[in-house]
Amino acid sequence: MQIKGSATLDGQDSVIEALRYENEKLKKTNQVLIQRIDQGWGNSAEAYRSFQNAAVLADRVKERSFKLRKTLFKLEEANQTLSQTRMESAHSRQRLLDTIENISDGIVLFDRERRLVLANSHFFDFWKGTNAHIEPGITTYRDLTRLASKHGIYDSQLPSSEKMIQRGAHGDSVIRLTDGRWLQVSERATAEDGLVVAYSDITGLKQNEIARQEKVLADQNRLLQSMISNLPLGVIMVNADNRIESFNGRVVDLLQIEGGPALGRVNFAQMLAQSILAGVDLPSTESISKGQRDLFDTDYLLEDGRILAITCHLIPSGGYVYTFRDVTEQRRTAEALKNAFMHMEKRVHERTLELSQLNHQLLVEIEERAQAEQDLLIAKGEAEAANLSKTKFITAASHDLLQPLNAARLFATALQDFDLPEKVSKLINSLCYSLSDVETLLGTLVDISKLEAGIVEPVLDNFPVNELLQNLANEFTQHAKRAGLGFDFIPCSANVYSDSQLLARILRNFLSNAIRYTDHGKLLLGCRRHKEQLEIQVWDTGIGIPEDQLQEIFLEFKRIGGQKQREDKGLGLGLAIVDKLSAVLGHQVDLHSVLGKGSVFSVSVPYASGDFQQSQNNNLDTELGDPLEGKRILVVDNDKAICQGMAVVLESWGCEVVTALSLDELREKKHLLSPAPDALILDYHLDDGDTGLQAEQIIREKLKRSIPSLFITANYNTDLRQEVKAQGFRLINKPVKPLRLKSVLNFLLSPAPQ
Amino acid sequence: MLAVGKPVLNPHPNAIRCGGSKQSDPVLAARELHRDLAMANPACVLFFCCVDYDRERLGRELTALFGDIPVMGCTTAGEILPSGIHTGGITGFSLSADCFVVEARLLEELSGVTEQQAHNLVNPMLEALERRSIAPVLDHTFALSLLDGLSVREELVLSALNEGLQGIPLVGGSAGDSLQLRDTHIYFGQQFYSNAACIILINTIYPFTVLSGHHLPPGDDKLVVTNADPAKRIVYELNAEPAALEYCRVMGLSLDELQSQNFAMHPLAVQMGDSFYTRSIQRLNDDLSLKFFCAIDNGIVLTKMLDGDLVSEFEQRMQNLEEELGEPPQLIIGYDCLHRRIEAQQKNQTEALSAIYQRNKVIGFCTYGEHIDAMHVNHTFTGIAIGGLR
Repeated sequence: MQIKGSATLDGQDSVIEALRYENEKLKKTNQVLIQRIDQGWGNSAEAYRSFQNAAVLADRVKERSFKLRKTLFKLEEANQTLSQTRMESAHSRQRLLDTIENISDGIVLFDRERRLVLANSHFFDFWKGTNAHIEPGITTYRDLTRLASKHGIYDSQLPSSEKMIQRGAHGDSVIRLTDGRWLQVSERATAEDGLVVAYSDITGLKQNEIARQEKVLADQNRLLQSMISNLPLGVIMVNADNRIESFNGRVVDLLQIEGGPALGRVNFAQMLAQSILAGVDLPSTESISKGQRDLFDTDYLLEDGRILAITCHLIPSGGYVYTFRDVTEQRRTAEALKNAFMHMEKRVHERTLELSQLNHQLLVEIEERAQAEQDLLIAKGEAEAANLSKTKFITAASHDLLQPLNAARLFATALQDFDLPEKVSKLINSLCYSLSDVETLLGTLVDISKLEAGIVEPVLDNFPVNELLQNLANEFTQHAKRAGLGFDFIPCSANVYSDSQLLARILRNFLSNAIRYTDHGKLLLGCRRHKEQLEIQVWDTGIGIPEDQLQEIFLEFKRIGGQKQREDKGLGLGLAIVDKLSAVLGHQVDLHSVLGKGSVFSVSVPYASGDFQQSQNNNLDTELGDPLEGKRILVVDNDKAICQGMAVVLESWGCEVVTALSLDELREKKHLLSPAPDALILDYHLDDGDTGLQAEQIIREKLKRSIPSLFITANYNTDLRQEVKAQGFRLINKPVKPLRLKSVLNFLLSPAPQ
Repeated sequence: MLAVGKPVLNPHPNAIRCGGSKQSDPVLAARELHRDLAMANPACVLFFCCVDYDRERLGRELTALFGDIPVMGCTTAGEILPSGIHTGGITGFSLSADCFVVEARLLEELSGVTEQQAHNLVNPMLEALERRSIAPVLDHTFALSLLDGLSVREELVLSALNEGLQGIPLVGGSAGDSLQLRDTHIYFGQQFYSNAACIILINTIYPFTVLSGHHLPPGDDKLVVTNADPAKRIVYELNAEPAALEYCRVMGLSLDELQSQNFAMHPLAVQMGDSFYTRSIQRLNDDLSLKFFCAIDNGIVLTKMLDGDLVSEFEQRMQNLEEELGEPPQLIIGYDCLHRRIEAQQKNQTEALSAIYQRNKVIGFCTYGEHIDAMHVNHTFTGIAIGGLR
């Protein structure tokens, strides 16, 4: 530092100033540094502190790189081992090369990409003389084939039959080189997916084989020639130049060729000109399209009448084969066949025509028959209508007939009860029987017609069977007595489900039948209980029925010759009715019979449903004297004769009878109901459409109680029966049989069971 | 013994694919990148792209192209493509799942990250990696980090992460924005994030080594930071003078020369033991204070670094690396300081450097700071070299 005058002073000042400033700076710097050292790392900024920490720790990185170097060393070791291995592999390679060099075949190794790895000198010998560039690691298997073609060692364009003779199971193939040598190519896969190919020269073998094949061919040729000679056809083989190659003797004969066997190598056209075919134009062989084997096949009619079939075939190797055949016979046969066929065609046509005519006739006939059927249907309808009107007529007629007959019987019966001279009495008896017969006959006829017309419908109901049987027993005890027969009845407490009226008619038929055909002995009416059904049986000690007639007797008008001549012989309709009734009811009828000893007729009836209970035990065998004695009975009937007849009959039984003809009379005549009657007998059909039911109603209203009532009707209408029964009344049909009337009245007037 | 040739030790010749695009259209760029990186069984894709791309379109296209494959990336201050250094493009690589197992996580809100948070993030990753690993985790795993380069939190985040990594080497870079100094972005889970970090653990069957270093020799001049705001990385005074003036004086520069080029050409470093760690200056503030790219503090001493030969130093490093690995690397994931790029540009050495990068299979980007374990440094080339080709 220099000091020079004022300027120097100024300079001094500025220097001092500068130094002071510098001092200040240094002081501050000093202070900051001291502060930082004092604070240590503790109070410095966080971010910088972490950087500082990290920097100190950076040594760890160095440590880690040391570790890496160690790893590297190991790697180098591994590398050395690898080099050693590589050397060993080179040795192996050399040994391999030496080995394959000693093999006489050409050997080539390829890797998995089919790149050439190595090959022996025999392989390279194939390429001698060519400048083909074959380099291991670059040239591929495919390249080899390409190179072989390119350098003319092997011609891939050769016909396949010459190029490849065979291909073995192991991928062996045989190829022919252009220099005529034959190579067998064997391919084998190696463990690493590589390929070993061996090329063996088999030319010697191959030539032997070819010689052998040629010999075989020559043999075959000889065979062929001898075969052609012996053919029944004429054969000519022509080569591509149209010259005759070979022919057989047959052709010479057939074509009558002049010059005979000296035909060899003659032009085919020329030959034809010398034959029988001279002047015949064979189809041109050139005009026929290529690829066709059969060129033509034609027939020629020769001047001598023979027909020649000429065919021409293309030979694949060039040329043609002509064959000539005498087909005169065949053609004639064919012609004959064709004619026969034409004839047949005509016959078939004729027959077809005949058949269609016949068919037409049949159709007409069918139409006629359909018309007839229609007519028959109409006729049947008419017949059915006539039948219905007949049934209606019979029903109506019987009603009208029965009314007066009923009256007549009642009178006759009443007459019997009078004390008359014996002669008269006998006459009356006869009259009674005759009337009875007529009545029975009429009734039966009506029944049969009704059953046949299907008018009768059963009204099925639960009832105690004994009620029915007791009545029948009462009725028939008397009949039997009259016929001099005994009658046993065994009561039964069962309840059954049936139509009591129709069932009664079945049993009545059984019983009257039994009486009719029993000369002496007795009858038995009883029941046998089965599990499901009650079998009601009628036994007799009659004449019995021969076994062969057991079915027959159920037919209409069938009767068995009885010994006894009886006045009341039936028409033989009884069992026929039984048969029809049982069918209507669905009840089974059975018959057992021993000829000369007797028969059992039975009908099986289902039991009443469980809830039907009717106790009527008390009713059995309670004979409390004659219940009719002194009873007052009101008869209401619009027919005065019936009223009178009834009155006579009833009075004869000890009853007091009052009668009324109409409802009006019933209302007006007070004495009729005073004293009150014990029972009512009411005709259902009164005049002016009034009914017995109305009469009963009037009486009930007047007396303020109901009187036991019996309805009588000649109408067999089911609705009517049901209507009456529904009100708890009894109903019997006209004509009223006195015995039945009595038994019903007996029942009505018996004390009600408690 | 038939085929004789080079023994092939690497059973997966295509375990790593690299690619890039100089297209400025994001869709075209993404497609070109995908074309290069597509592989049969990818474990992940990493990419680095210029901040100028329309990031939404780029992200959408990448998602469309790569689908479920994990894709991570960030914006840069320059890219290292397979062809060398470039700006305004995209570069990247994909790793095959046959040879690499990858665990990646996103760390958001860097400003509030604590050590505990980082620990909680890293631990499950290590556990997951342990389950899926194809090689022992501790010796065969490295971590890659991508951080927001303007977050001012790099040191703390790295320190926290490093603590959790139990010695697994961590290498990474801070994302850049082409010196616009506005915002940098991290791509993760099909979208871009700011103020975030992405940490990727990679377990591999290949040998690898960590690279980090610079070419700068230390000078004699020392500058003491006498006034600074460490939180903002701003130095107000150096040697008790306004920081910019003192920097100019020491470097022989005038104030109007204080731009990126000169910051790059005249670096400062702190000394730790024998090592020098550059603290790069980001920009000059109006009050003559200087803002740095990484942490500074009051009382620290900055050393003026002298000019070094960038290219030959790197060449030498690559030679050492090859010796160390015993082979050329399959891939170097490189985090190259922005200032190195600028320096090379100033010295007309970009092409020479690109050639070395290309030769050594470097893929990476120009950073706003490099990460090596817990350290955030500048002006280095830091990276991971993956060997195992043989």
